Amino acid sequence: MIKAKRVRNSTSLDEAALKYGLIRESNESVDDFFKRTLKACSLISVKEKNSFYKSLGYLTKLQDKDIFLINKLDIASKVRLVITTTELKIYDEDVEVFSKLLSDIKYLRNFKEELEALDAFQVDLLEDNWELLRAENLMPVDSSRHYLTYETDNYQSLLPESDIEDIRDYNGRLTFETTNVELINGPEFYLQKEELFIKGSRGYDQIAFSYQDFPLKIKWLPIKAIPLNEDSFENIAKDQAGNLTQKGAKIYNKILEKQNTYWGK
Amino acid sequence: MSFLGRSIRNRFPLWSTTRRDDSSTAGRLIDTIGESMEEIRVSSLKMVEQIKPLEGKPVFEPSNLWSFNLSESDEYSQYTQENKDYVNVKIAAILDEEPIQINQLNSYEELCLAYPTRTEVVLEEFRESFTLTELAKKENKVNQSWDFKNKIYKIYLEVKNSDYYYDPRTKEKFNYNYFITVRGVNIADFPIEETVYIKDDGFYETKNYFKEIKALKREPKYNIRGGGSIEREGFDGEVRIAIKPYNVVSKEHMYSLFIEKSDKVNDGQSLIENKGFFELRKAPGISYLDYVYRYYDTGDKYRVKDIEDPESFQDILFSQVLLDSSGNNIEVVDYCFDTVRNKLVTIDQEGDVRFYKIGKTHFTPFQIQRTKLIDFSLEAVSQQVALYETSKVYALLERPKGAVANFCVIKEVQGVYSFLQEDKTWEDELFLFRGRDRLDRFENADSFEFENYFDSIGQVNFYIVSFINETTTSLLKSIKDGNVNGSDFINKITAYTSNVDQRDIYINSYAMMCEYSLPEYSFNAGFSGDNFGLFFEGVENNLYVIKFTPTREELYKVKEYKDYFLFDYESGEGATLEKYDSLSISINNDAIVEEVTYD
Repeated sequence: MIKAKRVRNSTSLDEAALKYGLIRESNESVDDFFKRTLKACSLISVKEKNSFYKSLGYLTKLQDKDIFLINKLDIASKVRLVITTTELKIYDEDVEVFSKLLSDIKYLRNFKEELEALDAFQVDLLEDNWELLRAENLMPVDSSRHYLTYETDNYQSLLPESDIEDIRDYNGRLTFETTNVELINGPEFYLQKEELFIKGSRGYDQIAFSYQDFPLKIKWLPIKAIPLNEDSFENIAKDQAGNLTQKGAKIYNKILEKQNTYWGK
Repeated sequence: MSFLGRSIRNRFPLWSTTRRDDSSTAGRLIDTIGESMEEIRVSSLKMVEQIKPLEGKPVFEPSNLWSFNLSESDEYSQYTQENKDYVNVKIAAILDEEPIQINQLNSYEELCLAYPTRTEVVLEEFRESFTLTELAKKENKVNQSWDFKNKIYKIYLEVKNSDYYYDPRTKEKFNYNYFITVRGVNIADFPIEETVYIKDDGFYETKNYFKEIKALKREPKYNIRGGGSIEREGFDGEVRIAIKPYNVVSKEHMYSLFIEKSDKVNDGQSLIENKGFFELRKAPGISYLDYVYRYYDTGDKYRVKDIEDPESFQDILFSQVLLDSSGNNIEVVDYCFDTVRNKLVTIDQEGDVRFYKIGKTHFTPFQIQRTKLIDFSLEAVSQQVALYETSKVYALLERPKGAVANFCVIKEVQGVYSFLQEDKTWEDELFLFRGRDRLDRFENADSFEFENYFDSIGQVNFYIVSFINETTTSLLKSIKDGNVNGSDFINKITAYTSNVDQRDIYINSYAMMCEYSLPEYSFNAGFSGDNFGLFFEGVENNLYVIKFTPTREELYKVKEYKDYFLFDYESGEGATLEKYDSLSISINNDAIVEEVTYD
């Protein structure tokens, strides 16, 4: 009996995507591959903190999903949400008020319940059929973010983010949140009405600022990745007493098989 | 029929029949050559389109094939070695335990362009409306936001009813920029700002896909200037902003090129060739597709404040009545273009989707042959007319070659002849107009005009028959004696003029086409409803139908299944587009039969 095989027919999209290192899988539709390629084109050119994690969302046909859109219930509160590779952590005024392993949370439906129970966040859904996805695969994210190099306009700039926590300039001339009229006419920088950044001199300057990135989009990745040099890796390799677990030993041994010359201190 | 033939014929002088008459022998010959050139032109334009797949343009090819190789079978290999002659191949397919017919195609191109053999309509999504908002006249900015959650959409912009495009006289320091800017977030959650340049009223789309539309602040890192979610500059018309390209009555077709006989405006910036612009015109019980010629390529050249009626710089070349496959009138509710197959696609109130060829209808040869010499030439403003249109035809006395004793005008509609009467009506009875009795024989006849009401579709032929000499023509004598009726007359002049050396009777012919289009392919999408929207979208060139309900707009995707196969006898290789349970392949009238299963 002769068998018919499914073959990928190379289209102009496949040729274009190959330049970005993307290959369509044989049972992947062109429409799905197009969205994946589009995402890759946008992300490949921008290097940021989460670039690596984001790349896991377009490298294979298993694409990432935006699951939740999280907002603070009290806009004025200083609550901070952090998802590491293994944990969910909540801080209030830089004090940790909640921490739980994602492996203990297990599913995204539990993750949503945990967040809502804290009475600090509003959780909106962005995707259907999300409930039983594994919480461990959530992409690491931190609501407290830093914008490292922002080029200001002449005299005043409307900063691209709104919940600004801190601003730093490279000349030390910044006066943060002033209403002093004399300063407005002086050469200093100051911030007014949260996001309107004003400086008294003409010309472009570079500043950096920290902000709270709410509403925060929580992404689910099809591939789980954990940096070995991150503290939270201990949560996987060791038990609560700090002893190497069987699973941890297995991971270390697999790494040693691949990269034995780089291992050990 | 292509307009490229017209471009070649425009190289002939204005007095030449080749240039003036679409139905002349040279006109038909050159239009046929133009048609072939048009196919090459469209093919090259498609190649250009294919380099834009990241803009969501169709990929023009199937994404996957199911391939089989019969030479894996020893029996087949042995048979082909012993029997070099290929007679035929037939494939019987089984799908869901039912037999299904699949047909052979001869080339990969045919496979790419084939119409579906089965269709399935599935509900994809619904919204209150796929139109986001409309900018009223002179409204320049919208700050509203639209969050599409995890979905991404192109933004479609329909610009209409513009009174004028600004220039430095109507707006100070204006630098001739006409655009609409859309701001928002892309699939990777990065802010994007896209400027769509507007050249004239029509239909436009963004290159980028948007996950969210919202006002943005300036952000040099992403090259964002910042501003409202949607802003326009340079013109005052209405703008409809939608996430699906539906219900657009007037639009340009990227592959069509319209060419005029001559540049009637002729002001240095006007054009004799321009991109095809189409308009759907609905009347009770009937639908027309208007082929609109624009004399300028950009609106700022004629939609300016000093010009009261800019629409006068557009001509309807002709109106084509759209019919069903039985030739009956239909009420089209929406239409679109299939850029892969290069067809016009319509949907009517019964949910019937039809595919039509784009372009003029070909002229067919005349029943009565014209003579080498002629006295009169016939000419209309346009040789293409619409159904139920009355058109004037001018009979022009050509270079006077001699006396015109008598003449008659004959109309032929689908083999039925009628004659122009003295009161300019058409009757079955032959009527002979009489030339004037002047001493100067060159003044024996004048140019004249008559009208015809086109109440049926198709080609209408006109003939003008002139008699040089009253006394020597026996035919004319017998006509005057009342011995010749209409059909006898046709037979007699046809026989008489078959002698190419005769110099007694001159005949000229001219055809007009009451334009129509019959569908090449149709299917019923299985809808019942009042109104629909229709469009193709995406890299897979999927057909979508939007159904309007009182509370929401529902988007349906038409899944196309193509039951075809390709087969090469020598190598034994074959391919199908669809997956089946199994295939039974019969070669050379059951000389050898092979079974194929699917992974």
